[in-house]
Amino acid sequence: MNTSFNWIKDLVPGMENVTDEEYRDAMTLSGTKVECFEKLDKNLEKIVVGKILSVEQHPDADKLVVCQLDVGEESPVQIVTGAPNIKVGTSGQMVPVVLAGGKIAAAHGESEIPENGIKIKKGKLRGVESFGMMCGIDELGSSRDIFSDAPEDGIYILSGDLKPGDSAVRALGLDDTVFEYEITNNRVDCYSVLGIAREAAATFKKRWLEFMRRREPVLRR
Amino acid sequence: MKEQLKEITEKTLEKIKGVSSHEGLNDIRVGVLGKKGELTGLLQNMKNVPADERPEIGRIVNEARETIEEAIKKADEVISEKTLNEKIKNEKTDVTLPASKKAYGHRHPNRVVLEEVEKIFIGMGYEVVHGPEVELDYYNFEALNIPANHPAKDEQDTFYVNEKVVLRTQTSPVQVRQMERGKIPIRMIAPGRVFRADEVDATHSPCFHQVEGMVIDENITFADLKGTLESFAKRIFGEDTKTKFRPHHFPFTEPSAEMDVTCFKCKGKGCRVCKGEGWIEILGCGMIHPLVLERCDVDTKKYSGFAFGIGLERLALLKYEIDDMRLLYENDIRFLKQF
Repeated sequence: MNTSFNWIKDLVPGMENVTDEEYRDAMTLSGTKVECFEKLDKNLEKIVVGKILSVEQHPDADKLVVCQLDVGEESPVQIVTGAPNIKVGTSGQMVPVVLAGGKIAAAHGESEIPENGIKIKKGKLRGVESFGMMCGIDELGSSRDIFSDAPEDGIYILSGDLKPGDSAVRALGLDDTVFEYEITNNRVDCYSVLGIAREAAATFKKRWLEFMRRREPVLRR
Repeated sequence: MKEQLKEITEKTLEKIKGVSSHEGLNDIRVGVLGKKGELTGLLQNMKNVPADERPEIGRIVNEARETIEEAIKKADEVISEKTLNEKIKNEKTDVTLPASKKAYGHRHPNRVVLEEVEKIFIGMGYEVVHGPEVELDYYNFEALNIPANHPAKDEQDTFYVNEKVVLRTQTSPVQVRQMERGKIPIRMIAPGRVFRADEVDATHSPCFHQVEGMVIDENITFADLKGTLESFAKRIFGEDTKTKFRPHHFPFTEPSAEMDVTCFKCKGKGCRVCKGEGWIEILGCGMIHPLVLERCDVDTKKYSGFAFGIGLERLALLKYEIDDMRLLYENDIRFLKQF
């Protein structure tokens, strides 16, 4: 059984300051053993929302384009890419951009995921400078299983109310930890997010929000 | 006469030189000095020698005899030494060769660990009992508070012989059998083979071994359980081993727990053996569920008890740092020789 920590925090007020380790230890001791947990943004650094301002053909390579993006800084940032879904002449899309000095979880197209991610540096692609990289969903450590609207091959196009410079990790919901629990078969009520949330509320001695929402009419009477 | 003597002496000495065997020498000796020997023959002719020359002739004859005898003796020695050397050379054996080794058997690591476990618990006053490997469904499930359609039954992935007979999936049925024997208080361990329909891999096998433990007496508490198992852990893994109990669930114990020990390799810091956790899970335990006790007519108002189950292969794999469980079953001499 897996849950997102953010979702639990949503359902149980007052858990904002509980660290991943504290949660793991407390839940295990109260009977819901945490087998393991994974911080989704473990290897993601300096990834912001970028708005594509312009896309031009690369002078020296047929398959590359040179883009100017607004990443919320004083001047736009130039990025070269060969992604199939960024075409010359397009503009306005919001995409996740990792800036030079940042880190991504994995390299595009490689099945092996490095332990500590990959650092992104300023680079030159066929003679044109690139100050960062637009990210596909695999480079962010995720997959189409989670983000079913991601293109099969290409940059992930963000949607929603976003401003250039916002944290792309937060926009994608990747600033989260996923916990895996071992549920014993006397507690099948824990095979749901609500069940785990109730357990967490009891473990951390918090008011159980969903309970309150459902019960409120009765209490009012 | 003198010339004859000289002639005989010289001739004999020549012959001796040319002889290479004891028999040959003997022949010469007999031929010259024997009863019918040349020299002896000569001596008999002494009567023909004038009386005044006899002492001198006698002396010369004796001299000759001595010379010949001396030569024979020397030649004899030389031949003896030569034969001995020949013999030594031919019959040479290398006495530095090691003796031929006999292959001898080795105890299986499972057995080594089991004997250690038995020793520890026998030292605490437990007796070792056994139960059948082919068990009735009643003893393996129903009597342990796992009713007919309980999911726990599926989970176990049991081998069914027929509707009522299974290959036991845990050694816990022996607890029930022991309780039925009626002798309370009980302190027992029951090692044995168990069967689960698992796929064979590095940590699973359809056939493996467990050691069950059970104590029933007046005033047995969880504290007794913790104390017993902590002592056991310290005895088997070392004095500085720490234990950790986590809540768990078994249908036949309430409350139930799993026990971890500090990784004996890294002492809790985190390493490959303990997968970075610092703790290794080794057994499940708990206080015997009152329904289980009641089923065997044990007065729950008077008695309480605890029980535990240890995976024997798990202990062996941990203690000897073996990576792959399959090594325990392949009967490879190169592996078994190390125990």
